[in-house]
Amino acid sequence: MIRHFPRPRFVRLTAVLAVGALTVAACSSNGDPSSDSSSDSGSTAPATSPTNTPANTPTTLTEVPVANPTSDLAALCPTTAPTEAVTLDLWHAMPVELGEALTALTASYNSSQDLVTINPVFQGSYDDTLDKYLTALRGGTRPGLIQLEETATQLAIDADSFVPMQACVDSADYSFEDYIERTVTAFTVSDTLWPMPFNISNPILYANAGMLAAAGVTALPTTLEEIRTAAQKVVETGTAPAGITLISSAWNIEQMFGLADEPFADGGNGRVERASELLIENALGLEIFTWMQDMVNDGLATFVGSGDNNEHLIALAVGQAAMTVSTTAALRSVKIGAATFGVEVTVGPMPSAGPRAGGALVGGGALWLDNSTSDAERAGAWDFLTWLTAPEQMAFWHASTGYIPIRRSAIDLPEIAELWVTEPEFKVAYDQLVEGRETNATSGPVVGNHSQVRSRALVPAIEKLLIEGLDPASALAEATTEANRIIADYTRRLGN
Amino acid sequence: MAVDTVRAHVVSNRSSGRRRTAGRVLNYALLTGAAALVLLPIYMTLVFSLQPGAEALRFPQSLLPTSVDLSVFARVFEVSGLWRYLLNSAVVAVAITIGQVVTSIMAAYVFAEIPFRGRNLVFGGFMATLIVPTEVTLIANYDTIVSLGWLDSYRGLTVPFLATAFGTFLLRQAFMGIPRDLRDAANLDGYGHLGYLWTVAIPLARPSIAALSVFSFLLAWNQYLWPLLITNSDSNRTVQIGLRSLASANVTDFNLIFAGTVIASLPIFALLILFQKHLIRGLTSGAVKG
Amino acid sequence: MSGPVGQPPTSKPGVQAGRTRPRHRLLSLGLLAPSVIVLTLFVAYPFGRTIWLGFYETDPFGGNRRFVGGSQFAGTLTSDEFTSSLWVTFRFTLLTVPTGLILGLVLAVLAHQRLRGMAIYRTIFSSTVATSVAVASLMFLAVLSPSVGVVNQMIRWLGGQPIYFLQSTTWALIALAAVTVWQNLGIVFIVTSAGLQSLPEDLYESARLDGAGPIRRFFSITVPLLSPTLLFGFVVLTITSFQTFGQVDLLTQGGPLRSTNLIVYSIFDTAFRSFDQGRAAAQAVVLFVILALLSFVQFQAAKRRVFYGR
Repeated sequence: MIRHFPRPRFVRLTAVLAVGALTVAACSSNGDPSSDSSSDSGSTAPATSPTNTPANTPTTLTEVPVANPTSDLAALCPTTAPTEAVTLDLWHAMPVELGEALTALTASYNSSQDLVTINPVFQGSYDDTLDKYLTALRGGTRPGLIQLEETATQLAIDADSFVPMQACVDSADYSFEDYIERTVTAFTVSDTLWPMPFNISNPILYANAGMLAAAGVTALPTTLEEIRTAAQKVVETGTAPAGITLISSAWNIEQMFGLADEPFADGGNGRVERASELLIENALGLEIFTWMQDMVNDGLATFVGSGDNNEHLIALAVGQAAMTVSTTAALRSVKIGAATFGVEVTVGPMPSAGPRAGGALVGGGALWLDNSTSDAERAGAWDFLTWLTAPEQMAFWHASTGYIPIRRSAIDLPEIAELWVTEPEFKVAYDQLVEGRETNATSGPVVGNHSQVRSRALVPAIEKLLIEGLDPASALAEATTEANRIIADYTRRLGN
Repeated sequence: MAVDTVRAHVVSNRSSGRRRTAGRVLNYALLTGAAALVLLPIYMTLVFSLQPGAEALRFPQSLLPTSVDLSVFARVFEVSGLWRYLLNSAVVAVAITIGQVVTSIMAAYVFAEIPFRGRNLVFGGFMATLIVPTEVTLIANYDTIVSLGWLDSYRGLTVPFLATAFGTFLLRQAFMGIPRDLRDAANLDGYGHLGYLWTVAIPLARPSIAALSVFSFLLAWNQYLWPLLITNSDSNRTVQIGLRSLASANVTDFNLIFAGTVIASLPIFALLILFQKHLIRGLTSGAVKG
Repeated sequence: MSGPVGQPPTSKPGVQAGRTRPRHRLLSLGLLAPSVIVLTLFVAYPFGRTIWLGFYETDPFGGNRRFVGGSQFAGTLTSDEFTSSLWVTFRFTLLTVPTGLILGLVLAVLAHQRLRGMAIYRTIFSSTVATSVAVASLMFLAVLSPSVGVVNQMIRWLGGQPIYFLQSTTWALIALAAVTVWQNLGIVFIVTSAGLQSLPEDLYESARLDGAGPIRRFFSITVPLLSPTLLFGFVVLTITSFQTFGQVDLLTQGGPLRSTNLIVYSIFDTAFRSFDQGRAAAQAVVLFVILALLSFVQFQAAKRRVFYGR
């Protein structure tokens, strides 16, 4: 059995607030149904307050959280209509066009009522935003709301500085019926919804339609094998110097694990128990790494680095390659860019390594509510968040960016219905999301220090694979060893 | 060291007029080639900022833009708080400059004119701070700023830099270089220390003070690591950090990055042209030989 | 410019020589106080504290310190990450310092002539002094970016494959060095020009009469006489190359494969991305020791060289 790590900070939060054992009970009983409540619930004082037992029966599968208005958590987030004027900073990582769309939304919200003012502040990349927040934790002014990438979930929980969204959900008796389930469960750990899902994305295949046609590729490739075949045609016909550009994105690898319905980390992808190891040293990992290396070695793909400066997308726009994989959030920008460069871009689902047994992961960001906020601010934040994720706003957000509308009813709105007719590319990521099966593998990994695991273990391994020509098995082994070391180090230091 | 008073170093060959002309042509060719290379990044930045995306990629036409699109300059102010960043940079740099000049004058005067027991020790302590670069103390200084509650504030951006051992040293040299007769005359006129400092020493040290001001201003304006670390909001970000956030602009917007770069560099280029002499003096003052 | 630094402080007997009157003690205290407070609070104290922090390990959020003895110093010195970043920094210094000095000197000599329009060339050569590290880095994107950069546009126009300068382990450090050399060019030019102007004209005159050509004059007069200035430039450039951060942050984030993970970037990354404050502090202390040694060695060399130069 995998070791069950205690959650000291988590326990401290609940103990200090004297809300008892709801989360602790949920956490330990969820840990392993066969193990009785082990050391960590024993070490916390009020471990078994009967009224706090969660309504859901513990399962190994994350379910959409159900509001429990009588939970003690609810006291953390009074969600009565705002009564006093509050201003909340919203730290975000949405550059230029995405930032403009977000600012348009907050401005519209601010003018829709008198009491709550949301002040968006751009902080750079997701990593920058998280880093800024973590440094501010040590004694700076913290924002009321912060947008964090899905990789931040475990770290943010461990930071012990956020009000779980579940508190507001409970207190407002809120229902997620209309939300696409997977977007909610992805951010639910141990039956507690932590942030409010907001900008949800997954990677899609971008292709230069003219080039594929010129190379005689009739259907968009959907598997790695088909990408290879298409790339061969592109290169052999001299249509473009490369079939596809590859980036050192760990996200894309994680996504391919989701598509294959294989967990990326142990402990049920970190959703049943705290993850301690990556599970990538297997046939699937080998297949992906081998494919990437072969593509580059055979001259079918160009490796363009991290993709942080959108080199892969620019290469597509200027005709250096016929295909690339990138987030659906870039769709609007790519379409504008393609028009500028006179290129017709078409998009398809993220290519999978084999059969699509699982589904694309829920990627992107979610909004976290800081616990330095006052009751009035929490009420205001909740009001804003429910407004922001309402179907109308989701339709606007989707059309201006490419992020997936997370409300079912949003797709019936004329805005989206028409968009999907005139620009069907926008539907691809949505379909890919809702088609996915609901399993721990497709909910995505919840790993402590995930962004460090990516930047210090996975990305270097991909770079070694594609720049230095390290063999795929060794690259995977190095990635795993380094990732596991980072996770272990992180978990150990949590106990400091 | 005014540019026009420079004396010839390599005097052109006297032997024949033709060789002289040839030499001159070669010289101009070398100078122009070097100038072109130095200017290339600046020129390309300017050119890319003026052209809409697709045209910027049509080499070689992109080298000489045929159509100019100034709208990107308006847009760069729309998508980023560039005005505010420029203002913040100006406020911070001016505050640091004034602070450094004032504290340096005060300390330098003591080290030059008021002997006391242990003065050399204190002076040695000042000089010792020169070998501790800010990068080394970054982590601990961050903690200090946090505990003072100065994160994301002008105070946090300026106060740690309000004194400089380099400036103290520079002005001490200047004060010590003032002829002793002047000191004696001031004494006879009944001037005390502060009177002498204000009416004699500071005016006479003006060139060094100007040099220090330029030096401090440029260093403060160009700061990168510290403002990156301690600013969290547009109301305190400096222009260098503002540029960093522009650099994440999207596919279609690379001309935004370059437009932002152009705007961010304009103030200092303007100062360079306006105050070239002072600037050069300020920068060479770092090069006092010893 | 103020007088030479080396000269011993002449005491000013205008003020009461020797003993200070109490009033003057108060005055000097008052005058020194602002500088002393700032330098103590933001240089001396944090310096000591950084060493102290090196002995403690924090939790992943930078809090809850735990004493771990010297293990982080030992760990730092032996970790691949740190030794490789030292090695990268060393190579970066080799790439930037001699190149920067030589280019600046060549430009200064070229511009040290009485020719019409020279003022314009001088302004151009000193112009990069007006660029900050952020401006310089982004300006180089206009030159080096794979798709937009003018170099790659030209390569593509000639039918070649673009070079991913910033994404290649071969090129990335060279690209950063190019930015750095370019950004430093203005100041190196200004300083060496000033040095050239202080050289005695008559020496050149007599060398010319002896039939020494321009190249001979350059190596037998200019270089030796300018050695104090060049040495100064060498010291300053070396120290700043060890403090380089902005270029890395803006252009490569230390990658690919840590090939541009310069030491200050590594410290920042460890302290404010991994939130491993203790290890970062240990690295900072090691950086300090290196810089102090460098300054010492160069100071010793300088003492000898200056006499030689005079």
